[in-house]
Amino acid sequence: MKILIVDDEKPARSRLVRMVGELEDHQLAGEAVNGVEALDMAQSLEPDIVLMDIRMPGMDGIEAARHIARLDQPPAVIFTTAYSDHALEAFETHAVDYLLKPVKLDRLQAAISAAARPTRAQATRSDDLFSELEPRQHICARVRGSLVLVPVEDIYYFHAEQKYVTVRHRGGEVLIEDALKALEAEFGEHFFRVHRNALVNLAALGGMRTDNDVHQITFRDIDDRLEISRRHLPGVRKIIKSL
Amino acid sequence: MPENTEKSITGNENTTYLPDFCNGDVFLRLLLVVELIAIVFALVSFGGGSLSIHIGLISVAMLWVGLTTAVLLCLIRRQGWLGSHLQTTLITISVTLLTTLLVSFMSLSLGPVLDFGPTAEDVGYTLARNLSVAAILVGLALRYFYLHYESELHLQVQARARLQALQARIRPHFLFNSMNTIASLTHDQPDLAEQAIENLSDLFRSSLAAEASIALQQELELTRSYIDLETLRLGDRLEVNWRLPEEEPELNLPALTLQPLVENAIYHGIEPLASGGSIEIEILPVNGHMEISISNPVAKKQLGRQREGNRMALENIRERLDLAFSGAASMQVIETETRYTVKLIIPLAEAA
Repeated sequence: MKILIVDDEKPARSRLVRMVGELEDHQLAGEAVNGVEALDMAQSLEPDIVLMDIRMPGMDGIEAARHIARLDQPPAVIFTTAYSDHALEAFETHAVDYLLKPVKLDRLQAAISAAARPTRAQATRSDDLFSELEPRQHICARVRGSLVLVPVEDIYYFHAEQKYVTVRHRGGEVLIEDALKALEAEFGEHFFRVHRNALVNLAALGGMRTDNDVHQITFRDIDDRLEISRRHLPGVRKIIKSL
Repeated sequence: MPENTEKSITGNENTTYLPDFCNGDVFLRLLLVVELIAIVFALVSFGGGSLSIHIGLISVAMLWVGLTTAVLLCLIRRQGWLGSHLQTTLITISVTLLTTLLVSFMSLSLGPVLDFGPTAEDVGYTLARNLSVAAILVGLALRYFYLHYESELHLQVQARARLQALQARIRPHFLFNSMNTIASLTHDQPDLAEQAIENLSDLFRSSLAAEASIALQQELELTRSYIDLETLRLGDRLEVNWRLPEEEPELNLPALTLQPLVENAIYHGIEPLASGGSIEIEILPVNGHMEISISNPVAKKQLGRQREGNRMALENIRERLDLAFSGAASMQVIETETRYTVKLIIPLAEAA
């Protein structure tokens, strides 16, 4: 088994590296210092198991695990944490393994053996892993086989078309497979519905324009327009007024 | 999280320094003190006749003043009119003088009827005497209440500071990450592990210690222990730049003033940054004052993911500086887009 170690603190990494070295049948795949790097290495090094710290700057471990779960052959993720009360409950409900730091060798051994069995790897593949926790900071899309991360704050809107959702963002657009409803549940604090098929970032909102009884949302930084449906019109008016 | 506990002990609704006369115990104690003073006056001014009648008359007059004043102050307090210290002082003095005036007039008008006390000729003298006595007594009482209140506050604030420091110390992340660092070092670099344990001990000791005030040098040493510990964990993500005066300043300040500020700076400014940043600590003597600044980079705010606030610690440090230097020290928070700075200005002349 190839093991990827993710932690922002060097002593924590070197301790795990040493412990993994003491385990038979397992090798170190690499070391990552934050969530973004972990996601990168999970793709390029194809580890079987990721030992993932939860609290890291930039992208934290839980979000990285949620993105990793969408890979074609996702590795099993075992979280390591010094202490994290609310996340621990979620782990119990998702039957995800976690190790408390300082990690004990026999616990590490047991967690890795359990993760090596396929059932465990499947358990962490679930798409809604920890979705009831905090919203993600990034949207992860597949572009020509590799993963692209889009910071949520850079997104202007989500637009659903048949099978995919278009994510229009500062750097262009990407397609994702998430359902608009799930996105609304996750990012509802900063995004609002203007139509059955569209979610708009409050921060990107320009205003409203009416042509021949057709109401449209305009944006501050881009020329795109989105139609506002009759049903959502009163709500959108209220939001625009309150800005 | 420890925040709840912190809140429950900060609840300082008792903003006025005046005791609560609506409280039966306090009320009775006040009457007892008034009665004792009445007896003293009676004994001092006794000039023949029946001592018990003399004591009785003076007691009745003074108890009336005390009782009416206490009841009025209780009502005023219930109305929420005791705002600032100045307001409380002025209201208490006016109420006391007014009731004294009232009771004096009553005794002057009853005097001839009951055939005792001053006659109409010395009205002016009687009023002046009564009002002076009342003014002096209320002045003394207010001074006593204020000192009592201040020392209570001192104890409270000090206890809260220690509790907060201790809570920060046993904040699970700090504690277990430190333990994890030590576990890692024990194997690879036992010398560093030993140092880390010593530093951790220093930090715990200081949060459990009873000293209210320590030398700046000691506080700096503690801060360094803390920084050393965090450097082991954060590596080159943490850079600390010191700017200290050439001569070590002789200065006492409340214990745990600097270290918690540096802890905040690391927690809010360095830990959320993937590439880290620098903390600047500057100590600068400026005409009779010592300026101590601690600054950290401002981490870009992430959607919905804010680190819990640090206002408790700042508020507590401000309170303790206020008490230790009787308002002559101050704390400023300067926030720009890129850096967050806390500046303490501490007078050099007075010791904490």
